[in-house]
Amino acid sequence: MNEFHTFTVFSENYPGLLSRIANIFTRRKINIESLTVSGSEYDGIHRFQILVRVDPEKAQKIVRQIQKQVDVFDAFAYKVGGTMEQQTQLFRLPTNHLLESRDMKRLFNAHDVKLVAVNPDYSYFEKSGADSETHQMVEEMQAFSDVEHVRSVRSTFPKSDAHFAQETYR
Amino acid sequence: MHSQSAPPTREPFEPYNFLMMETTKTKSDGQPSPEVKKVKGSQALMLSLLEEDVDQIFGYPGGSIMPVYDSLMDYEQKLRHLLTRHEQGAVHAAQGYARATGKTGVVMATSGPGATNLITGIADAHVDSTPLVCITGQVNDGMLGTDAFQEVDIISISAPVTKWSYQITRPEEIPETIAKAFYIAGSGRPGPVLIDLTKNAQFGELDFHYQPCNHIRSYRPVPEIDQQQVARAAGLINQSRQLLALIGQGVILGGAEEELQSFLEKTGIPAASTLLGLSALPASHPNYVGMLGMHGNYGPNILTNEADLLISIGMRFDDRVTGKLSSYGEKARVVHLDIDPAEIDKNVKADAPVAGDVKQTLPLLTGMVDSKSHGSWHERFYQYEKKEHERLITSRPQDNNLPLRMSDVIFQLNSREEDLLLVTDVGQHQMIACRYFQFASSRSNITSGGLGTMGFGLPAAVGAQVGASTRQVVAVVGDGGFQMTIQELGTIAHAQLPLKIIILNNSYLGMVRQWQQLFFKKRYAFTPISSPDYAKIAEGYGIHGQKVSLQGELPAALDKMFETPGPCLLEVEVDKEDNVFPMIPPGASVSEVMLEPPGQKD
Repeated sequence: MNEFHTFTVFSENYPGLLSRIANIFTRRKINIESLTVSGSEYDGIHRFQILVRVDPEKAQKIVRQIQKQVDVFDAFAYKVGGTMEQQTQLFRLPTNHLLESRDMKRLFNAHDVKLVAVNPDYSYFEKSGADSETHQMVEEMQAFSDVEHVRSVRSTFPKSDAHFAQETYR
Repeated sequence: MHSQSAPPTREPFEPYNFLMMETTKTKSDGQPSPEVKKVKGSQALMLSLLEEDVDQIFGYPGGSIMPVYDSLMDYEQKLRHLLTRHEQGAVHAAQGYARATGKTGVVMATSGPGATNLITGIADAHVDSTPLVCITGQVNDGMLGTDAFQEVDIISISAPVTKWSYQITRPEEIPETIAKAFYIAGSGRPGPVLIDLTKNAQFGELDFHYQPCNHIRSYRPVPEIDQQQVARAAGLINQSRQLLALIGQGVILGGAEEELQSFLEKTGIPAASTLLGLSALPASHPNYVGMLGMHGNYGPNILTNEADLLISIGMRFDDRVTGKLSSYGEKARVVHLDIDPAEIDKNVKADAPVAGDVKQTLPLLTGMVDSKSHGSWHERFYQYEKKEHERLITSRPQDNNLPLRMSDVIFQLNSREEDLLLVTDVGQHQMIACRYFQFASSRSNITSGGLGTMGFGLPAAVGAQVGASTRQVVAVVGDGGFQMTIQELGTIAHAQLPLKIIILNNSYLGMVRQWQQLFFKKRYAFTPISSPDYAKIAEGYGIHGQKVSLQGELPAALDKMFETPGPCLLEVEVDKEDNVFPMIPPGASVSEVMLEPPGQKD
């Protein structure tokens, strides 16, 4: 049965690698729910975090296919629950709507939403939390028009054993 | 399987008399060259190829790779270039060269259509683990992404079918990238690498010095051996009674033919081969029991499901080998030796997964297993072999005035003393040739396995004959596949390659027709195919051509072909609706392998 998995990949930062890794999923008709690439705590090594729904057996096979890429140091797949996760949701809405809507202000307070920036045209807010919290926030925001939002990938760490050590450089 | 006496050796032919000169090695001790000199990027590419011991390139020039070809003229005596008649021909020739020699094949093409024409061959090499370095020209880096003339994003197009690829946009990247390309292509599980070289990088200058690559920090080509798994595998081998070894191409790629023989001779285990593993073990070896898979031999397929242990040696349980996966090896536990950890448990779950180079893991295993003979188990393979031979071969009428069949040609080739290198195309002729040809030495079988690329045979034979210049290469191709890359007769004639070409012409796209007959109610949708007069076509290229259609004509025609110096073509008109059996029907289990179509006596 398909379950959410977060794939974490440590790699060199070469052009074309993103396409190679994405191909491993798309070739198997697996939709990528979210993906982020960033630097890591290891100098010169980049970290991919890829969220997909896939069955656990296939996830293990995909990990091996990713590990096989020449420019990949290592790859791991984690099921939801086995990881510490956090997600960030950024909202933008017209400032005059915010000023006119008490309900919206109440909602923001209830969800511990932080104000990021305000200008005469738009106001920007941020909500961080677990996947379920940001999802609930988005659902409740459906009641309001003119609200745009963008969500980051789930940032994930395994709850237990360290999964990548710099000394595993090959 | 009959034994063969020591084959006669041949003098190496000189394909390019007008180019032949002393070949010098520039890389002596693996140390970087001390001199640093200023050169153009295109020249740096030539020097880098020489550092990698390249002496043969297959290719086709064009606008975006002109600086490279211009430099090649200055090095053509050391870096021989064979101009094919199509880029697809060049990449298949490079594949044939790599498979025949064990070296990395090198192919060059220009940008745009030149590069895209390589893709089929690159994909073929990727799935069949053939080491290639493919160098494509590209437009100036300032024009990338502008839809410039003959600009395509070949890095993205080739990504799914290359082991690695890189676009060079600055001349100073050339030496390091080429070193890396050869290291990646040839190490671990080999594969194709594509290097895209922008025109400004070819024209620009750099201070050249070369450092061979033998380490990439993110890349582990050969996994560490888990000794516990080796011991577990040995335990399973010692406990089991009905064992079958499955030989894959990993044995050839790892140069582990002797290690394989030592293992088999100590354990007495029968061994069957995948399509690409053929020739790793001589067909005359007492442990050899035939070919696996959809059109493999009867016994090894049936007995796969009687075995209590399958020992997979450098093979990947391709679907053409396993048939219906859920009933494959249903009584067997599995030992899987492979250099690529991603292959372990991919299709068939291993009870003892032994990741590593079989050149290293096989001797470890041999040291831990008991000496046995498995005589009665061998006898069962022999009985099935006898049944197959009687049903498919000896029961057929032999008469000089009767039409020929594909298998007649292969048995006639077997009767020759020479250790032939067989190159086949894809289809019925391929299955018959590979199954019944008596391979005597390793690297004697070159065929398109995983991709099943029609049109592969003729150009691959070109590369094989160039690479294995002391051996006689025979290309056995069908009339369909031959017409896909027929233009390479021009390459063969130009280089005067002593290649012998046999076209088995049944006037159909035979394998598809067979499936239409068996599974589509004989609706032969677009499979009848006409042919030109191949002998005349050959003669138009200056190649000796012949045609035969009766059994009695074949021996003399073959004698004539092998006696004639230089290239020769023989068209053999064969039975139009002859089918390839044994056959495992699609979706069926290996043990459901058929000797005849359903409904006929079995």
